[in-house]
Amino acid sequence: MDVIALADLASALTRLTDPGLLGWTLLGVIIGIVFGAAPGLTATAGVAIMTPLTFGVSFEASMSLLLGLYCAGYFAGSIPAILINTPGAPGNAATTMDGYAMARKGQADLAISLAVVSSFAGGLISAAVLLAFAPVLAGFALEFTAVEYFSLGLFGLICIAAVSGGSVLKGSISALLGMLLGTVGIDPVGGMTRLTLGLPELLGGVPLVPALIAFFAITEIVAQAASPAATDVLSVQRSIRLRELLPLYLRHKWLVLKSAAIGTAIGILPGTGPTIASWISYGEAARSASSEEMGKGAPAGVIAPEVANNAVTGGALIPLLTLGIPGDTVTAVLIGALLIQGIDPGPFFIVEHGDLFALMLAILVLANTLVLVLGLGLRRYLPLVLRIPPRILLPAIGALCATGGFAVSNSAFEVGLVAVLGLAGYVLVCFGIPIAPLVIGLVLGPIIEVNLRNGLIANRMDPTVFITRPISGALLLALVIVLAISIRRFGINRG
Amino acid sequence: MRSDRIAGLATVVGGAALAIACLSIETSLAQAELTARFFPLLLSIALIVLGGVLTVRSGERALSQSLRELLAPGVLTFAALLIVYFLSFRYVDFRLSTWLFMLVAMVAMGSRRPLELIAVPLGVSLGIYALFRYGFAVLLPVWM
Repeated sequence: MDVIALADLASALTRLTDPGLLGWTLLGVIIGIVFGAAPGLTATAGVAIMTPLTFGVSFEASMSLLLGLYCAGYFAGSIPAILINTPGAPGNAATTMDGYAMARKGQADLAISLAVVSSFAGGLISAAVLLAFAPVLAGFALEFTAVEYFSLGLFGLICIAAVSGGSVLKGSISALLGMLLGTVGIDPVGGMTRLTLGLPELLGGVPLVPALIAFFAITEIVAQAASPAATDVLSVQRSIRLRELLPLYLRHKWLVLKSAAIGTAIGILPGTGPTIASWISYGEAARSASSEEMGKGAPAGVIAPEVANNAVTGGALIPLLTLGIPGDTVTAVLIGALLIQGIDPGPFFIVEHGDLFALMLAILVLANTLVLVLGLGLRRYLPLVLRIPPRILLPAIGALCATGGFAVSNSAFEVGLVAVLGLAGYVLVCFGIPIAPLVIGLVLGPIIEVNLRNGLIANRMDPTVFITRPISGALLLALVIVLAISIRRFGINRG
Repeated sequence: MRSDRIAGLATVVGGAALAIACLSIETSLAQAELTARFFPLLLSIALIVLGGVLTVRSGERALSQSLRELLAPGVLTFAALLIVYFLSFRYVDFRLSTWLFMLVAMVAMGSRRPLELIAVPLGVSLGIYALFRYGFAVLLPVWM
């Protein structure tokens, strides 16, 4: 199967007029703006907290809420980046360079408008790439055996371990811890009990959604409690007319396309995410915009990173929906949401659920459109989100985390687990161990283990099969190159 | 003392403890070559090795800096409140425990406005309860 049925696509597009679906997406976008704009909180935390709420709702409601949150969260981190020089999420850090400089020059309204339109453009282009490439890749992935899946899982894990936090060593330790957590429970091959500490609640393994809430939300709010973010917000200042944006975009049309290509490509790489995409795009803009004063308030310095970080959304969904491998941290959480709906993401998803894939695409388009409409229409009010005081926001999110952890399976054990894992995550962060590889390790660990064991058993315990099969060999070679580049650039432990 | 050195040593000790725990994992006769302990044991050994490397190749960050972050008064207070709230979740009426958690956490984080201290904890506890109970049909612990 090379393309999805046009009938599915048309049907999905017509469902966008459904008020329920529109309402869920709108709710997701609004929550995403709050989570994205609050410094220290991220779209990943928002998606992790909202995932348990989707137990009682349909697939379309669940995906509308979470994809709306995903797209809006990646955009909204630009608001504090522009107004208070503090990115709402790491993926918006590059936006501070020129966004804040523009705000200091009285052009905050222009900078926010550029961030909104750029996010829309990035999201839309990456959705088109998702439509074009995901069915093809899914068809290709049907040929994969356990050997290829093992190498792909390992590649994804090493990618994030290598780039997360700048220390390959600490990233790898974090990934190992995540994989070890993933081994808790019944052995998927032989059925023996492993590392459960005698707790029957852990026989099914460390539950994914509570673990995601713990590592992405609790760890973040505890870190915020240590140093509540400053909210010295610049006013939005000189208003711009929307028609002033058009000539700017026409002048930067190649930059938009290039940044979207970079964002989508980085998103496709398993385990990476918007931070890398936005910095690479910013670097590209700086390299080619010799006439502009990059770093001193150049529009290109806002356009490039914002196009790129939202282009990650469609790109990151490609490995998730075709291979079952998350492209970034949010898609790692989305695996939990899909499993809640009884859907196993992987090469069979598009083949068996072409209609649902088309619906997800349509929701992405809707979510990005709502970001555009709400972002431009309410841009003068968006800074109000920054004024929600941490003394209210942090405890309220703590309460939501506890309730979300409980809602997964009406189990108080999982609420306790959220607290324990969240605080353990904070201890790791204090010692410079990044959290993202741990979570990806938790998601990919079981995939890597099962495929390693099945691959070896199927090939009479011959480990060379991982090198001699062409795709697996190429992935392992790419893995070695990624490691070598990271170690050469950062050293094995930058500290 | 460097922060990484302690983290590395802790990783080695943790890895060793896990390796020992892995040795107690039962194996079945049917799995002669790749037993249930194979993968976790492999990971534990890798953890010991990487922990050793971290101990030797530690970065410049001082231990005192990590401990300052870890033991900041704001963190300890908030973490203690979270633990009490989360661990008492099954025993206390959700509306009461959430109201109390919000109130104490807000006071601990510097809220002093009476109206805010009355309205926000009440609004959050009842709002979340209504959302989960009636919006998502989740039966939260209640006394009546």
